Amino acid sequence: MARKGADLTIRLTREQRAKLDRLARKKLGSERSTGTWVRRLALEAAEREARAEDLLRRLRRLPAAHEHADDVERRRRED
Amino acid sequence: MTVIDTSIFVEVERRRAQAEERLRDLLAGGLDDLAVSTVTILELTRSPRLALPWREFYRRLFEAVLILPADRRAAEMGAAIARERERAGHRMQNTDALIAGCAAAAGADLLVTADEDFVGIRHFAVEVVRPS
Repeated sequence: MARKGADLTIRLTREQRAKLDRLARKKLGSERSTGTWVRRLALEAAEREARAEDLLRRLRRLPAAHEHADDVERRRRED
Repeated sequence: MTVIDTSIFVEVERRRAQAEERLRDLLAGGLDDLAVSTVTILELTRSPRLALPWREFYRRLFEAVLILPADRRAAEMGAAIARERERAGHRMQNTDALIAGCAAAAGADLLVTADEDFVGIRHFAVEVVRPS
């Protein structure tokens, strides 16, 4: 498989492009490009996905914490 | 928005399968729409008995999800919910009432809990994950 470069080209219909331009203008103001906005959205989504995977991985490895669980519950009842 | 109540984490700490499975599903479904109250942060992290790996897990979790503030509006909504529940014969604890208030003030759609005391609140749907 050919190695992918750092650039990403997305093919859109004119209507799709116009829709994204309108939304980008609304979200960012006219001085910023649609490409910048789409790039940011995609990177944020990838970051959120990575965070979720990290949390799931950590959750699998955590030991039981009965004493702490009892402690939290006791404090809840005492409040 | 889905709010996760403190009681779910308590059951996960006990390694109760149903709570753990539900938390996994929620995390896998995406973090954008998940929230916890500041009250939950306090409840889960105040004890010196909290082991380091759990403390680190919670730190990362609370960085990643929405945090609902326990502000004046949340307190007022929590008080209103507690009054309603008390009129219906169900007394709520202050922390539960404040978590409910945070969820209601933020316009949450769903509260996921292991605590039956939230059942009957009309401001959002309540899903009770029963221990297994």
